[in-house]
Amino acid sequence: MNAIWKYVGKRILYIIPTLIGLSILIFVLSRVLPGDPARMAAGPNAPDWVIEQIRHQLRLDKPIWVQYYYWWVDLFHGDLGYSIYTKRSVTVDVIEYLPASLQLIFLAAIFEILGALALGIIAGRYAYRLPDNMVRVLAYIGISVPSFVWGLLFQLVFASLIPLFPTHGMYSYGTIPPPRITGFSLLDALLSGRIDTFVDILWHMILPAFALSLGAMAQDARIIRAGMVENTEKEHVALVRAYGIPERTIFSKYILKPSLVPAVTVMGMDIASLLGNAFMVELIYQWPGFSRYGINVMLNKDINGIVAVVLVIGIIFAIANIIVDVVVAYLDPRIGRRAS
Amino acid sequence: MSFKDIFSEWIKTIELGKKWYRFRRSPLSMIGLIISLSTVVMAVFAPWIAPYPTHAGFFTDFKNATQPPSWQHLFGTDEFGRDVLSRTIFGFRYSLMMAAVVLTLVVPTGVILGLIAGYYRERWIGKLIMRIADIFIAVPPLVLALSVCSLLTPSAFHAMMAVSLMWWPWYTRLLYNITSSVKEEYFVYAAKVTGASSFHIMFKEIFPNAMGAVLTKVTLDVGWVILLGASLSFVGLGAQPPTPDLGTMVADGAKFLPDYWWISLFPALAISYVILGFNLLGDGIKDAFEG
Amino acid sequence: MNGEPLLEIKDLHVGYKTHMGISHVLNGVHLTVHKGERVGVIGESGSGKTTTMKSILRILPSNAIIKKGEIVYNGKDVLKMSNEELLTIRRKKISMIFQDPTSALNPLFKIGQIMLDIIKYSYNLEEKDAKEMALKALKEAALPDPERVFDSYPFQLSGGMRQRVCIALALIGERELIIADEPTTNLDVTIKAQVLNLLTDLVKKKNVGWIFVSQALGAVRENVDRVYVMYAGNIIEWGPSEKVFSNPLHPYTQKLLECVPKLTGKEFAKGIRGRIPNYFHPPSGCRFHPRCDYIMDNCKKNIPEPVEVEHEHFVSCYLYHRR
Repeated sequence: MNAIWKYVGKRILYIIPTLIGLSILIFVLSRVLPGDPARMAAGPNAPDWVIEQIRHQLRLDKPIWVQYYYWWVDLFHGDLGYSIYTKRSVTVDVIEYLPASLQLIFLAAIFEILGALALGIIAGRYAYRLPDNMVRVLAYIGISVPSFVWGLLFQLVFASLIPLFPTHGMYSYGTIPPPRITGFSLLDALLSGRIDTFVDILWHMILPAFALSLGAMAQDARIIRAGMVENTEKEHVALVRAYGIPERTIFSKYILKPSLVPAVTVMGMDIASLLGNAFMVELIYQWPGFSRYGINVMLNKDINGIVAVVLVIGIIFAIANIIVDVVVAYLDPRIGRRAS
Repeated sequence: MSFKDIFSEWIKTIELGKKWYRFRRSPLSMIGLIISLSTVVMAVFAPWIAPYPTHAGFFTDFKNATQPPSWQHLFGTDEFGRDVLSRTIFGFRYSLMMAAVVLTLVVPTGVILGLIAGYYRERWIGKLIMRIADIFIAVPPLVLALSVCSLLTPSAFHAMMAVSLMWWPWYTRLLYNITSSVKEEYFVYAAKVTGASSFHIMFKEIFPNAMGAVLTKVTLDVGWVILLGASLSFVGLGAQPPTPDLGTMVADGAKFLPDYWWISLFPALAISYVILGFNLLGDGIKDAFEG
Repeated sequence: MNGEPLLEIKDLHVGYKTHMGISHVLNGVHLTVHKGERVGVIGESGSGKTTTMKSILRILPSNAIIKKGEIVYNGKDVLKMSNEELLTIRRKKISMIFQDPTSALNPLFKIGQIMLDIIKYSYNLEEKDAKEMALKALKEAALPDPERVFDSYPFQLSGGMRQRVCIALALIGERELIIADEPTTNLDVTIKAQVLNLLTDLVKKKNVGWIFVSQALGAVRENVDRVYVMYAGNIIEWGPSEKVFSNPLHPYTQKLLECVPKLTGKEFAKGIRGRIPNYFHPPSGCRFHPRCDYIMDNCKKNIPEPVEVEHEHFVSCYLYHRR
């Protein structure tokens, strides 16, 4: 176990300079690219002195390295800068909107993992037969159809035409949101003992989460299937078979485990696709989350908002990747130990 | 020695006939080839294939607005009375153009940086390149592309620039990994011993080994770049109306769901069709090279 | 040979389905092992030795097809056995040591996990007793610090230790037959001898039946009672080890033995012209005929019947039909 933690520590140490680099990149881009955020914020008819005032407020009148320096100073005081879109500190926005996105992505990840396991195992178990071919077709469809198309399609079919699920939002009409305890509405509903609200929120999450999960699910199912087919012919499987271990155990233990390693390894990419696709899916389902907030700050050229959105997603992505690394290192003992 | 020489030499060494034989064996690969070719044909000959070529841009015919699919308008008409089929065919043109521009910018840049980074892996230059590439990969490509597009004025051209800015590190990584391993092979040592220049080794000894992987990735990426472009315009940060961009059309038609479903459904299917085609084709090429 | 046959392979034909067609590897292999007998199998790589060995335990790759033949073990055909009977054979009767210990041990499981699984299914033991049995086997395979090995992943052990683990696996319980499929081929030169000595000592001590497949002709000569020579999916010559090695009859056997470099000789070892045939379209008749120096008309048409040239020394070659 110790070796794994050492490995994780190394990964974290590596990721920190990358994130600092990312902050420089997006900060510079937000200040250097043409376009006048101050004018955008003030409106087309605003007098010059108003624009000057906003420029001063955003420190746009100072050299870029000074701006960046103050950005860090503010950050140490827990302030990500003033948002010209919400007219308050971006920190407040992040705290308000991030939990909703995280819980949606978390549910999508659960769908993705369960679906990929089920489809991949079925296809691997019945390789080159009907179930395998069906999964292959499903996987190609899953990969090819963009998540926003799934989002619209599910909304059209399962919310509008057949009203099984709500079309948009987080709560049904007339539901009073649970008191804000953690910010995660599902958790808050549970903590305040309102099971019906919990179910209502979950009900609103099913379609967007499912639309979000399909692409990555298809990709992973294919990887698991390929791993199983490959591992079935491995010599180590012949060995356990030669010593009389029953087929069921061979399959569920000695074939499945090595097949999961490559699938988990690419899970980092899946998380990237979930985080990215959330932008479109939250827009379609009007989910009050961080990605939809991101689109709004982008459409309003809110530079502090944009920097914060990119960095927060960068941090989430980094954490998710480290978790993936830990799981891989746990599944495959060679990783991490051999490196050290 | 030019890139043309490298390419023609590479063509000779890969036994194209054998690769084609392997490729042809899989019906899925052939379907992919047919789909991809059909989109290219539609994109190139859009003005001649589309039944109403004038409907691609500014055009209004409110009398015929929101017509459901019929023989006259196979995919129906949109809220301005424009033929959705014609606009979808022109949509392929924008999508493929985006992929072509992005990949032409990105592939050479990424490949050269990756070769250098892999070849000088232990030196500061290699480390620096990979560090910078890591920064661009530290966030899902869509997120950075969206941000850059929003900081510029949203347009099809800016979308291409933004996507290109985000895409090169993937090729750098690919080439870095291949170069790092190929570098240790004996034929590279042999070239070094005979006094070949670093430039020669990188481009003539190492690069041909990466050609198959690059070709596969380029093919697959046509689909992914198109997806990214469509996502940008779907959100409103890419191509702007009235450009017949598939993503814009889907977003535009979404306002009229569920009643006028055809306005967004057909462009949405068209996006999926392109991505499917290039995915199947890419997998086919990969199998032909690896199998 | 005295004693009753323990294993008798008769006229075994095995092929592999590939996208290029069927490759017809085994072309009527036969082999007999008596109780407690040590039998060697020699031949070039690709001659079908491993396929034959894997057929015995029915652990061939999924694209293999057994077209014809019988593998009789203690009077019962393994190929027609029920699943339970087959599991009993695998768990208690026959064990196998694989060629490459690195690929034969699942890299994601500790040695102990694999051993415990095997012992538990074979002997229905409690965890504690199973572990004791595993440690005993590891000790028997001359592994220093069995506890540590038990708790290690394969990648934490050296190649030689890994093969000792595989030998330990093969020793668990009271086996009647141990198949060793080129057990030292993939090991470092320096430990080949160690592992081989360990194996031969154990086999002698336990007095079990042994099939020793190897390309190390010297090792085979010293350690087996009888030897079979295999070429392109056929047994072409067999007999008591001393007779086959001192008086090779088949042109292939003669060439094969000439390939061994001799420390005393002044000449270099000779090779054999040509190579193992393509199994998709194998040569008709005797499969060795395209490489043979004594080729006759008949060789291309029919597979020669075996001839007993000296006592218990057989050869399948038309050269010996004339006499």
